[in-house]
Amino acid sequence: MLRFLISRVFGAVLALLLLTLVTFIMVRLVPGSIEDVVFGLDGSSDAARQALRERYNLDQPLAVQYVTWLGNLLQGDWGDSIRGPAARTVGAGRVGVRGALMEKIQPTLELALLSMLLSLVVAILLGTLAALKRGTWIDQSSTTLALIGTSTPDFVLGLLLILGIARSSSFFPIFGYAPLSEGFVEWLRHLILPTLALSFALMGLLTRLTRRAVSDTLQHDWVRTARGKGLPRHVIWWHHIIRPSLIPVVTTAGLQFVAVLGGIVVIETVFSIPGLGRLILDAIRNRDYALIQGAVLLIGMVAITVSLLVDFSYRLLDPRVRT
Amino acid sequence: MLEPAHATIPRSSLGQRWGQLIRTLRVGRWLTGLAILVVIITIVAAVFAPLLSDRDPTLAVPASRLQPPGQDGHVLGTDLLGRDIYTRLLYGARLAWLVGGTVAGISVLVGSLLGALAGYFDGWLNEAISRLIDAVLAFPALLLALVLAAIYGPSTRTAIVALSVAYVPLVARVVRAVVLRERELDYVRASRGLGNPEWLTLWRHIIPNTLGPLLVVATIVASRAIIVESSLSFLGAGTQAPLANWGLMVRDGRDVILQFPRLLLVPALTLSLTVLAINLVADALGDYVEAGQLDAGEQVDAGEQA
Amino acid sequence: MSATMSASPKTVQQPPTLLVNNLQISYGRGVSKVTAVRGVSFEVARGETLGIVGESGSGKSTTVLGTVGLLPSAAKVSAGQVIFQGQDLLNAPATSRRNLLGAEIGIVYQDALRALNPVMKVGKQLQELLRAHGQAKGAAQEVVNILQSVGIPDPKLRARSYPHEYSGGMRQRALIGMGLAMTPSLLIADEPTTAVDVTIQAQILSLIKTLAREHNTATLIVSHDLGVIANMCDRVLVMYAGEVVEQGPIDQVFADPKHPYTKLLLQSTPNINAPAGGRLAYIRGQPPSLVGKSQGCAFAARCYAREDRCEVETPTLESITNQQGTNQHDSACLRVQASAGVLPELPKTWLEATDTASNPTSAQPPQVQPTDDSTATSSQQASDVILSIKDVSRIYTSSALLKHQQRRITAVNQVSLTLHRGETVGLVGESGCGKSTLGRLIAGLERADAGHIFYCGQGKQGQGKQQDVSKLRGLALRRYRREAQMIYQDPRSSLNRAKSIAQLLDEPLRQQGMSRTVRATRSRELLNMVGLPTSALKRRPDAFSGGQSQRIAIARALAVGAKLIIADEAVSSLDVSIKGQILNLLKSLQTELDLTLLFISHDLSTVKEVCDRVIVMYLGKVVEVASAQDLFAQPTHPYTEALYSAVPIPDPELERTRQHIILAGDTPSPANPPTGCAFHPRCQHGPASTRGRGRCVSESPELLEHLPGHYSACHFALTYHQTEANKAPSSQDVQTHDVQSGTAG
Repeated sequence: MLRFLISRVFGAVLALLLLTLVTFIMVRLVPGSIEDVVFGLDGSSDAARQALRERYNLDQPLAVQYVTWLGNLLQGDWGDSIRGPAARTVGAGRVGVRGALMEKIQPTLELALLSMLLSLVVAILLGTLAALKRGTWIDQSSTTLALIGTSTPDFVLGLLLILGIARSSSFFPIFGYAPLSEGFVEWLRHLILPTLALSFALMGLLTRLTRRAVSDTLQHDWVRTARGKGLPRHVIWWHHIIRPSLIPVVTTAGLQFVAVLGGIVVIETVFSIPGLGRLILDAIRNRDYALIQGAVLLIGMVAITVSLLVDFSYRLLDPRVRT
Repeated sequence: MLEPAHATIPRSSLGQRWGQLIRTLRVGRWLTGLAILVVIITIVAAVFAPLLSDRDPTLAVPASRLQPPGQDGHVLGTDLLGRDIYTRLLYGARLAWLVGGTVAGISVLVGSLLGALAGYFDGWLNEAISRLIDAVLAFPALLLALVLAAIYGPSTRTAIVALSVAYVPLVARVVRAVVLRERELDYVRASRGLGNPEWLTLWRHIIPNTLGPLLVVATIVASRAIIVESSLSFLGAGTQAPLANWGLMVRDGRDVILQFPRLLLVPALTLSLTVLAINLVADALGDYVEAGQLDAGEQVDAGEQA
Repeated sequence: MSATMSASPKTVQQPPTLLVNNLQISYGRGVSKVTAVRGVSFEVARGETLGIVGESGSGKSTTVLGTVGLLPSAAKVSAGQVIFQGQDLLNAPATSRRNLLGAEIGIVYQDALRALNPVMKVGKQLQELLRAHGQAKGAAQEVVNILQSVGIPDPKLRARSYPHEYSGGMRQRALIGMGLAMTPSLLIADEPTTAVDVTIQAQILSLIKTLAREHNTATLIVSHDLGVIANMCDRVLVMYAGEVVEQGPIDQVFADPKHPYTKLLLQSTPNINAPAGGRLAYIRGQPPSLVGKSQGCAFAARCYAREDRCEVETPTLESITNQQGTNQHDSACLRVQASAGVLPELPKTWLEATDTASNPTSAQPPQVQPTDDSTATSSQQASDVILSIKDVSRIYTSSALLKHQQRRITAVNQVSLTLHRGETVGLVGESGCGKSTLGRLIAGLERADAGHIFYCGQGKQGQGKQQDVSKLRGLALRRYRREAQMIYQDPRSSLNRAKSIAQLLDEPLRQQGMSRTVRATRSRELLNMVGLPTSALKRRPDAFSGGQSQRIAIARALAVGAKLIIADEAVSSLDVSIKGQILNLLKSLQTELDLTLLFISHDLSTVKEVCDRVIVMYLGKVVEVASAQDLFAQPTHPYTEALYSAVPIPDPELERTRQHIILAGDTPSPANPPTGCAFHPRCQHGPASTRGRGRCVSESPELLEHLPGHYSACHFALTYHQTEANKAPSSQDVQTHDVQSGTAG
């Protein structure tokens, strides 16, 4: 286990390095020079251009630029937003990328975690029920619902929710976000619809997965052994059917966390939530490459960390893959 | 031991196989039949769009804005700019299938090549390709497309490129898993025993057995690509106005969601229904393939969601 | 072997523990309804062991699982009555049935790896059983006691291990411990040793026997292996196509079968104790479909004693009164019933006819055409060496980041041997001994890490041409592979399911540059040779049964023009009756085409039956080589001796008096083999039990010719028995470590 841990962490660090390299190169792929991108082709002062070049070491060879940038990253300097008024007047009122990202991350994380939780709970209940009642109307309707879930784009679902629920009842606001500091009810009121819209697809996916996993487990000989031991029904269900089935479900759910982060861009737009997704979309509209770079880096880091955690939890959950 | 060994009636020959496939697809579930019908309708709409409507999907006619359905021969009415919604739906189907088909095609071609190589030739190649697969899979397809749109400018083409890149690993993973499993079967050893070189064994014996799962994955990739591209267009980072695209139509309709819900509902439901139909077909194909082969659906399910 | 000597020793007085009456079980419904069990009745009493024997699909497992209500949900008990200790099991409420299962009825399953929950510690799985039956107090300690009682070393530690951390034998023991934990009055063992090696099988059988005797348990054993049944049972039930065809005391049924199926089954089962060579009987055709209702005797189509009425009249099980007037033997054969218990003799022609003849679609005799001008080889040149292996090793290295973490497994360790043209050589050993790896090395599918494999093929002019297979590469290697073809164990996996049979046979023929018409003719010829109709060409592999698939695999090997056939467990997954068909086919093709046959198997009885010479492997090394006759008559390696004694013989009388050497423990991992002689820790004559054998621990023995043509790798090859009194074998099983006390006197 320790050996696995070390090699896996080593691999994660390598992946992180690769990620920084990719994000670094990404910005260099932008057609035209950075100055042109920042200032536009309508000439601005050479002094401002020069200042920008110095700030980002643009005169140095690429390798040097990369190493300096990496060094800055490690020290917590993720660069400055290069768009907007702040960038044009270098030195005054700089907007740090890291600060901007951190400021917006809270609603995004809350939304993502809440959706994960909701999908997991519903999926495990529904999926197990469907497997248990295989072939009945319960099974049919929950699998059909699950398929509808995976087939409905989240922005469509979000808009339908707004149209259907938010319009008829004023309890669920159709846009905005309230931090927890404004009270739990207020917080939840704002998050419920976005969470529903975001989790529906994952719910469908995990329900199907749970149903399949439980059905597979039911075919295994050890379930027959458990019945042959005369165990009470709830013991058979919990220890011999559900628990072994949950291993693939939980690990898949972990891997899906990243996909949920992707869906957040859409949902935050639909419900006008000031989170990371909106920030990224704005950055893309403004072609604010430093910010995009930072966001990609952040999401990549989350992805790598989560996959690391999933790997570890998989090893903990399933004794067969332990080394 | 439990299963009566001789109860299975031999089934065989290509004709019978097709017969069985058709039975699974059609008679098995009426829902699947309906889904196939929907898929066929959208494909017909995509191919024959100019024949099914003589209007221009992009032509704004300010005089006939927001016509209700049925008015002036506008079957589904007109939108904010006076464009015929029915015509835009037809051409939207064209774009959807262009995206779905191209992305599925590219990712299947590249993905199966990578997957087959990784699965068959173990060692560093497998290791390298697997790492690459993991790295790309770890990043949401939508975000990748957004970033590419930021760099190269938003367009349908950028979206197709981005999604192809994003879905190559998905296909590669499924193919790799099938090949890894097939490789251990004795018929592969038998083929080598016949004196076939490795590439011939891979090509002649293993690849034919990956086609079933590959078909399922291709279908699923197409449906996902349609979803993500319309999401991109909805965000303004995919297909650009004035082109007809379902996501773009939803985006337009969103501005008047409370006043004219039909502007949003019609394209939104068309999109969802089409994707649902494709997924149902994929499901039925999966059930058929599952009978004897690796469960491609599960692999894809575990792979990526959006 | 007359039946007089062996009337059942005990008479059943008390009411039976389990009584099953007219049980019927079916799967599915409507037109595809399969009636797997068709009116089975039997009873078992305390202290008695009943065996149910039959081939796959006979319904034997379904019967016992249906008895205790553990059928899969697709199966339904459609009729019948099950009375357990006076209680109606089928109609009992769920709670009272739960209370009986696991406590009063213990069950041991076939494959312990699959029967145990993989994500739960073994100790916990035992504990929950005790808890469910009201023994929560002291359960943890009880678990350790149970594991100890079934001979699991270090039980305290082992209770905290997961099933996959156990060896195969230990898992099966743990499962037996679970079955007997509550000292049930009925023990059901469903193929309890099918998944384990023969030396482990001997351990397991002896364990079940001892524990069942100790607790006076009623035991029900299901097996396809007549040897196991003969070893374990007092009475036997023979099943065919869901029906009981014969029932009676074990000695009577085995010595004097009263149903043609039983007789054929017995005759087609290889017997390690019988003289080697000769052809096995086999049962023609395939078992019937169980779909729908059948008319007449289910076995009629394959029966040698068939009469017209067998096709229409459905026989029932009736008692046959034998000459002694004892009335314990039932048979469901109309002819036997009509002729007062006389079963017609097996016609002599039965063994000679190939079943090609019985197949109307391929009536013409097989045309044998040697593929090239190699007719020069004939039986006179039998001593020709075709393959000679010198010091070949194959080492598998697991991939790891750091060098010292790599695990090296020496699968084949400095093996040398020779194969002569036209002979059949058996390669035997238990799982993990390296026999299959050696087979693949010989077939050129893997490359040896050390040593040489010299192949003496036929050159263009019929001259001998010697090449070192381990050095061949590219085209030369691929050419060689065509000369040495493998037949694999799993017929389903060895034929590409995406191709039709025509495509499968066409591929190797096309390689030889034959024209389309020649290829088509040749494909048909090949199918004829292996006894399949030409209509098979259009079909795909999944349309064929296991035995038929093996025939196709053989046809493919012949299509390539193979000179050397390596059959890797080629008949191991087949039923006894089908096994005989395939073996006889291989043997006749061998003589017709002058093939050399390397027959890799774990099944010693079969090897003895078909092979001229036998090579025994243990942990990657050859430990003994001799002719099939000599090897078992006079083994010069203790491992061979133990293997031989561990194989159950389908002869209950002999099985009772025979000495069974039961080796201690499991086969060590090839990753970490013992020092000196790899067999020494388990050796019944080794340092653990016999003084003065320290050499076995320190020095690895060489393979030497101790008797003419008889090689063995034992330091005490000819003298190891001498410390042991050559007394008459006792009826008790001899445990490895018990030998010590025996030799002390």
